[in-house]
Amino acid sequence: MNELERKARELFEDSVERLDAGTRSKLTQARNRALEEVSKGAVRRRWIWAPAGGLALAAIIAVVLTWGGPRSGAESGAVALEDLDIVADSENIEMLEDVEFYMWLDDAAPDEHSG
Amino acid sequence: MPSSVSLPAFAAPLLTLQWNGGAQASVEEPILEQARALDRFLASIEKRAFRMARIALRHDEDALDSVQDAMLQLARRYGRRPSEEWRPLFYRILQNRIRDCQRRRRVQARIMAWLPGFRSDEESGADEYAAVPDRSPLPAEQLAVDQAMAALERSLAELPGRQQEAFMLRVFEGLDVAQTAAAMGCSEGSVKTHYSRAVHTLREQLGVAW
Repeated sequence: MNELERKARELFEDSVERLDAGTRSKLTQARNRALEEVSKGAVRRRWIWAPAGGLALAAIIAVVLTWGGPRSGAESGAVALEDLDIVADSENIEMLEDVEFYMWLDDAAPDEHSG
Repeated sequence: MPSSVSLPAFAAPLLTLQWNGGAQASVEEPILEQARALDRFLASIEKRAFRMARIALRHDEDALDSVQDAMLQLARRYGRRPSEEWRPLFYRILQNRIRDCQRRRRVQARIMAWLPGFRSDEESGADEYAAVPDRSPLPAEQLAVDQAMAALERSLAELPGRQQEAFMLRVFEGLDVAQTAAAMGCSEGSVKTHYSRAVHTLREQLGVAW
């Protein structure tokens, strides 16, 4: 680095060190706004995968309901379709996380449809 | 536990997510770590970036806007890239913002020149307080430093844009030729040419004053 470059750099660094408090504060605010984007992006990414996770869980539950219970014949097919309709309903997607509820539904369904 | 760790304000939404379950904490931890790394990176360069933008644009608010835009773009588009790539990427975005601002000003000046009674920023003096002598008591040494910096800024402002970019990125930011080429979006040969011409011109202009 020659003399001109060295002196230019020293002057520049000096001017950076002496930046006024108002500008420093605005830069900090700008940085925080940018960093909020990272967290917002993380939330967005999480919710992008939420429906896919819900559908995967719905598929697993559908399989359990179809082949897991002590049912027979056309009746069990109708029950399974009905259950699948419930679990595939996007409005009930939060309920998919309540596995115990669906286990109960699976146990209760044959009694309801046998009467 | 998240509640016992002091975290910056931007991490609040992530903390909220973590209360949903312990398993999610491990999922969110890399994102938190990424945010912390980005925070450190931006804090380390923001003041120099602002000064470079200020020299190029000669306007505080425009310089702040450019730096903020560059920060946002880096966080949105490249936050997940390896941190070693952030510096040239940030400066590339910043240089684009500076050029956009300069282009916008030229267009505005051309349009406004048609209007009667209009004086452009340059004619009316964009920085009208720059010419006003500073009455605050400055030590003689600091005054000499300020005058030298003012002379450097004036000379830099007169350089063609690409020469100015090459000089500031190489000397002020300390990027090597390859990083400067990445930041400027040109070849290393072009960087060397722009830089060499910039140094030559500055030496001619500042030689006497320095």
